[in-house]
Amino acid sequence: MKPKLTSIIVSLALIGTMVVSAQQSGLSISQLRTEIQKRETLDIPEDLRETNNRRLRDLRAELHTLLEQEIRKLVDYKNNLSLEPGEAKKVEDTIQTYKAELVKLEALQPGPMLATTAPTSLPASTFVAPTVNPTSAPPARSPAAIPTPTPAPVSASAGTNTQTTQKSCADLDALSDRNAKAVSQVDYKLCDLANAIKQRANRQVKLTGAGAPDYFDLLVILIAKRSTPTFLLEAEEARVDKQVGSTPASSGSTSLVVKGGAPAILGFATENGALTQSTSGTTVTFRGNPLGIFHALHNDGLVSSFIEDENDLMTRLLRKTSFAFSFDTDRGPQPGVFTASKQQLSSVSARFEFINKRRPSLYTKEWNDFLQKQAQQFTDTINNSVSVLIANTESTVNPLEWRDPVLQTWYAETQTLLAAATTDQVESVLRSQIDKLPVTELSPQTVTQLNGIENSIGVYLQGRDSVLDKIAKGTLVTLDFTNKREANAPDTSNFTFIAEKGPGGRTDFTFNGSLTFFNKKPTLLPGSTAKPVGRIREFSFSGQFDIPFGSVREAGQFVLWGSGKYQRLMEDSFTQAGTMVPNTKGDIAVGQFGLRIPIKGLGIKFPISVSFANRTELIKEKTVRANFGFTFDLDTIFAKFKPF
Amino acid sequence: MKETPNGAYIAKDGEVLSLDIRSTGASTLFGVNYRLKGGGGSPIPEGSPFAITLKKSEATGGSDIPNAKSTVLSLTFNYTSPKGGKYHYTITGDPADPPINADAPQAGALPTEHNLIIHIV
Repeated sequence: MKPKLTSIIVSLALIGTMVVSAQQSGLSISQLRTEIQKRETLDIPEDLRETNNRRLRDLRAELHTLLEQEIRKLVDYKNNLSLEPGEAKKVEDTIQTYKAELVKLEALQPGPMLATTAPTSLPASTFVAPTVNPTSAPPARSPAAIPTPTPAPVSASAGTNTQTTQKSCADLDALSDRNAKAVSQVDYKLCDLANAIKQRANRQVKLTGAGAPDYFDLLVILIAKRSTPTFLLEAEEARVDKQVGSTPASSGSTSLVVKGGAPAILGFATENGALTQSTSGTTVTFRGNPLGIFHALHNDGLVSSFIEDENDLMTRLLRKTSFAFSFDTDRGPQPGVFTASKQQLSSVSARFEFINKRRPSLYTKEWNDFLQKQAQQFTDTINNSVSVLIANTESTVNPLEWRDPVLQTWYAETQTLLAAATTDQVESVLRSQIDKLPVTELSPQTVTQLNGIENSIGVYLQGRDSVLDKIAKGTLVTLDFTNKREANAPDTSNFTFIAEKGPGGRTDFTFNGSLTFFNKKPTLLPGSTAKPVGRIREFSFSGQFDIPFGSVREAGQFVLWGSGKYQRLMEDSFTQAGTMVPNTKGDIAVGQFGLRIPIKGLGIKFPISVSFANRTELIKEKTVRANFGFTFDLDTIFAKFKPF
Repeated sequence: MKETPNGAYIAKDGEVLSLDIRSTGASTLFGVNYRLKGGGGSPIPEGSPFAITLKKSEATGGSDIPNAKSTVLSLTFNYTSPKGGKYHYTITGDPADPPINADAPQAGALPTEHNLIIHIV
C-alpha cells in the first residue's frame, strides 16, 4: 500500500513539474540545483524513472543555460569595470566555479544540452575550446577549462577522438558471455575500471592498493587511445567447433562432417538441401545439452552454471553429453509445415565427448614457462613504472597523483566529476572523460613508459596466446549415435566417431568415421531373387578444414570451410517410399566448400555450401548441389538476458 | 601491515607478509606473479601461503616517515579462462594488524594488476 501511495505522490509531483517544464521552470540557479539533486537521489518508482529522467534532462539544460548567462554577465562585468584585486578574484572564482559546474553537467548528460526553451547562445569568443597545434607545444589544460560540448559516449577502443557509437558495459558483458573474444581488451579494462569505481563509496579512482586494478586499467586505456595497437583494440575470434545443424545423414544438411562441440543450452537449425541423399528436404534440428537446459529452466546464469558444473564430477559428465531431435517437415499431412509431430521426427541422436585434450590442466608446463618469462617480465615492467608515473609514493598522507601535469589535470577533473556522479552515472562520466584524455600532450617521460608497457603487453599477449593456442589445438574426440526414423524405408542406426584437432593458426580440422546399420534386417518380398540384405548399410570417412576470418567486432565471424567424404554403400539404397533400388550399392565421393555467414550479435548464421559428387545414393550420375541454411544458437540470446 | 590515509601501507622492517591466494572464479590454471621493488620477484606457487620478507635495506623509495623507506609490491593475476576468472587473496603480516583481503576479477585476456606502496619503518 505504501509503495503505491508513494508512487501516486511522485506521479502527481512529476505531472505537475512536467506541466511547468512545457515552458522554463522559472527556478533560480540554486533552486534548480536543489531540484536536480533531489531528483538524482530520490528513490523513484520503476514506472516513473523515465519521466523523472526526462525532467532531469530539462532541468539540467535549464541550469546549463542560466550558468552560461551568469558567466557571460560576469565576464562583461569583469571586462567593463575597473575591479579591485579582491573583487576581481571573487568574480574570477565565481566564473571558474560556474564553468566547473558546466563541465559536470555536460559529463552527466552526454549530447547537446537541449532545454525545453531554447537557451540563449553564448558568444563564440566567451569560451575557447582546447586546440592542438601540431607545430608547437600544446597549451596546458586547466581543470576549469571549458571543453567543446560533450559528445555522445565514445568507445575507448576508438583509438582517436573520433566519435563512434559505443556499447555499454552491460552490452559488452552479455556479448563476452557469448564469445569472450568478441570484446576488445581495452573495453574489458574500461568496464573493469568502471566496476571498481562503482564499488567504492567515494566513487574515486584508486591508483594503488589491494583490490585496486585502476592503475593498469588506465594505462591500457591510455595506450589504446594514444597508439591504437590492434592487440588492445580488436576483438579476437569466435568458436568454430559447434555443431548446431543436423548431421550429414539428414535430408537437409549443409555440412559434410559432424563437429564435436554442441551448444551449451539449446541450438535450433533449419537447413535446406541434401548432400548425399537424392531427395532434398527441410530438416529442423534441436540440439542441446540436458544440464544446460536444466540450468536455463532454473534461471541460472550461463557463466555461473559453468563454474558450478566444473566442481562436480556427475555434472561434468553430463556437460559432455548432448542430444538432438531432427524433424523432417516434408512429412505429415501438411508438407513444408513444421508441426513437431512424431511423424515428422526423423532422427534422435545422443553424443558423448570422451577425449578432450583441450583442457588447460594438461598444459601446466607451457603455462609455467609463460609465467616465468613473459608474465614475470610484464610484472617487472609495471612495478618499475609505478614510481616513475605516480607522484607522492613517498607520502603516507598526500593523495597519489600522476607526475605528468596534463595527465594529473585530467585525473583531478575526472575525480571531481566522479565524486559528484551517482553510481549509475559512473560509466558515462568515465567514458566522457576518456574521450578527453590528453594523449597528444603527454610528457616525454610518460610516453617512454607507455611505450615500454605497450611492448610488454604485446609480448605478454603473444605468450598467453601461444599457450592457449596449444590448448585449442588439442584433440577432441566425440562419439555420436543417431537413430534415423524413416517414413517408409527401414530405420537405421549410426555411430559416428568425431575427432578434431587444430593443426595451426586458427584453423580447425575435423575427421569423421561413420558406420550405419539397419535396426532390423530388411526382408525381401516373397519370390524375390535378390541377394539377402546384410545388416550393415554403409560406412564412410570424411574430413573438414574450417578457416575463420573477419572481425567479430565489425561484421561477425565468417568461416570458410572445405571438406571431402568417401561413402561406401554396402547395400542397395531405399527410396523414401521404402522401395529398394537395384544396383545402387557402391562408392560415393563428395567434395564441398562453403561459407558460414553470421548475423552479428544475434547468434544466427547462414551456411552456404556447394558440393560435388560422383553420384547420389539412388542415381549414378555426377551431381553439383548448392546447399543453404540457417542456424540459431540460443546460448547467444540467453547470455544477453541472463549472463549471471 | 596497516593501510594509511592515502592508500599506501606501513610495515615493519623484517616483517614477513604471507600471501594466501586462491582461484575462486571460472576454472583457470593458477598463475600469479609478484615483484617487490628492490627485492625478489617470481611466479607464486599454488597451494600453501607464500612468504615475502620486507627489508628496509632493499627498499629504494623515500618516505615521509622518518628513517623509513618505501617500496612497491606488484601482483599480477593471470588467467587461462576466457571469462569469469577470479582470485581472492589475503595478506597477513604483523599479527597485531588486520589481514588485508581483496579480489582480483578477470577482465579480458590481459592480467589483473594490483600495486601496493609499502613504507617500511
